[in-house]
Amino acid sequence: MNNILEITGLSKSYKDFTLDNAGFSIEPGTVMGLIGQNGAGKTTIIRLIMNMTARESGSITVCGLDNLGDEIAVKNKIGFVSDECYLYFNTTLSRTAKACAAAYENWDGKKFSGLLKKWGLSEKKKVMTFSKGMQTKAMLAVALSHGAELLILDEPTAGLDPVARIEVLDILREFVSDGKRSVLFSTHITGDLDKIADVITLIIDGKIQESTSIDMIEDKYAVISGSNDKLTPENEPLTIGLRKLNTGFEALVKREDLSKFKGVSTKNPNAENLLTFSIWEHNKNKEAEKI
Amino acid sequence: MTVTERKRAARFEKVARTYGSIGNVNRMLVFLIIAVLIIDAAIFPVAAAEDQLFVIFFIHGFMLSLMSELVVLMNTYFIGDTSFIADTGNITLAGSAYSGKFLCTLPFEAKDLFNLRFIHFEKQLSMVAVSMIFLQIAAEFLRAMGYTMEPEYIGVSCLSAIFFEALLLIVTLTGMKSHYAIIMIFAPTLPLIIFCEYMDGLSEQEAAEAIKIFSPLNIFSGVPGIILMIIAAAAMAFIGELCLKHKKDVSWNIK
Repeated sequence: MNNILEITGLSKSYKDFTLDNAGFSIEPGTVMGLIGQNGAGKTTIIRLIMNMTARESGSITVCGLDNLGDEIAVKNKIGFVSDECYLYFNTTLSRTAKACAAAYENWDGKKFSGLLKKWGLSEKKKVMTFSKGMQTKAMLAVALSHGAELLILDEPTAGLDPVARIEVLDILREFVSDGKRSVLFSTHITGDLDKIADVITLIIDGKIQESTSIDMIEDKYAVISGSNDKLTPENEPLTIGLRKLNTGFEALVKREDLSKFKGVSTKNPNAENLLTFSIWEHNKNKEAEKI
Repeated sequence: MTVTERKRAARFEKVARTYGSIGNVNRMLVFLIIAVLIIDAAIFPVAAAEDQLFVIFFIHGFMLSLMSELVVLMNTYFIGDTSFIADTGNITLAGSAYSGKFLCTLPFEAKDLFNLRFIHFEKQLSMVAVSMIFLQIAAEFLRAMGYTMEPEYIGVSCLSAIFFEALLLIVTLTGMKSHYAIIMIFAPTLPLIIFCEYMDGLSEQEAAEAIKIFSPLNIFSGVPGIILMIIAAAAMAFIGELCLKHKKDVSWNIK
């Protein structure tokens, strides 16, 4: 079976930022979390998938179809939810549904109305009257009502209250439960990914650092902590994103290097650990290069 | 573009217009043509005889260019084409950007937006061509009524329209940034205005001498002018279609 999404060699340059040779793939039935700090390139990747902006090199395929050459077929397969509401503010959801029905091959008006009813969204009210959470759900209703195989969400839970956030995550879990559909979910709120993601792709300053399953992250890395005297000139270079305080240190290390650290506590890393320690290591290396 | 691409661009417009406050673009075009003609007809009787000519061609040249641009701007607003008016007015941009982003998520190609932009250009090109032809015919009637209709005036107006449309074609095909686009669109009307102002300020004898400089423009008046206008419009449409055919890997350019 084809991967739902395949990205290879993707590059795009802006004045102050470059996405450099990005590549990863998503298998069917998978939730992939795309994590990185603000400005890392998460939204750029999503904009390139949606052809909102032109890529300079590389390829993007969705269900085996080129996102440029088969744009219409690809867009029929993608459901998109943005961080900002892209639905026209001065329009009701019933008019939105008419626009979608005219555009999508497999628009399911009944499903759309059903989702709106389930989530308490009125079809007769204008989008501008909705709260942020309601606008996200409205976009999600559109995304789920045309037989999409890939849901792409760009920071959809940012600005949502805890209840709304959990409800959105539940919807995503249900979406992939048939094993045929997938979700690409970009966020810097790593707590959400710990609840739902199967695979994490880490991007820092426009470069993909890691793209691996949550299980493999736990197999590959460990978070260690201890008193500062446990660090030696031999084992300190093996740390990733080392943080030294008066009370002790904390760092990410590869499990194969654990034996070099004596008398330290270890725990399994989560998405937040991977993100934060990687960013600290990256920043430390950048500072060292300047010197 | 192919018939299928035209149909899809029309469907794209129909979806985009679902969000628009103003309806049918075709009705707008007809309204604008009628508005220009009414303005001409209203001013004509009250203007002094020697000013009527200036007024007609000033109104036609400048107002028609402005109204054509308004049609293009309104079209791009309602179809969410941010590349053309990227920096022109926050309200327009905000409205345009939102609808553009939504349209981008729907199963349309970026080229559909491009094709639709060109279809709108073709519509207003034909509107301008018809208006110029009307102008030529009106000039003949005025001559028959005894007015002095210098063919050079008609020639300048017709040439100005062709030049304006050629610039608009370049802007349409390249998706130029707004400030360049505005300069290119308003620039052609300035020579006409300056020309009319200059001629208006001359005495009859001075004007008769000055007009001889522009005598090569006589080719753009009368029946030859009508034929040239039709050929120019057809050539622009043909060149545009040819460029569209070879346009590849277009993106939506959503900001």
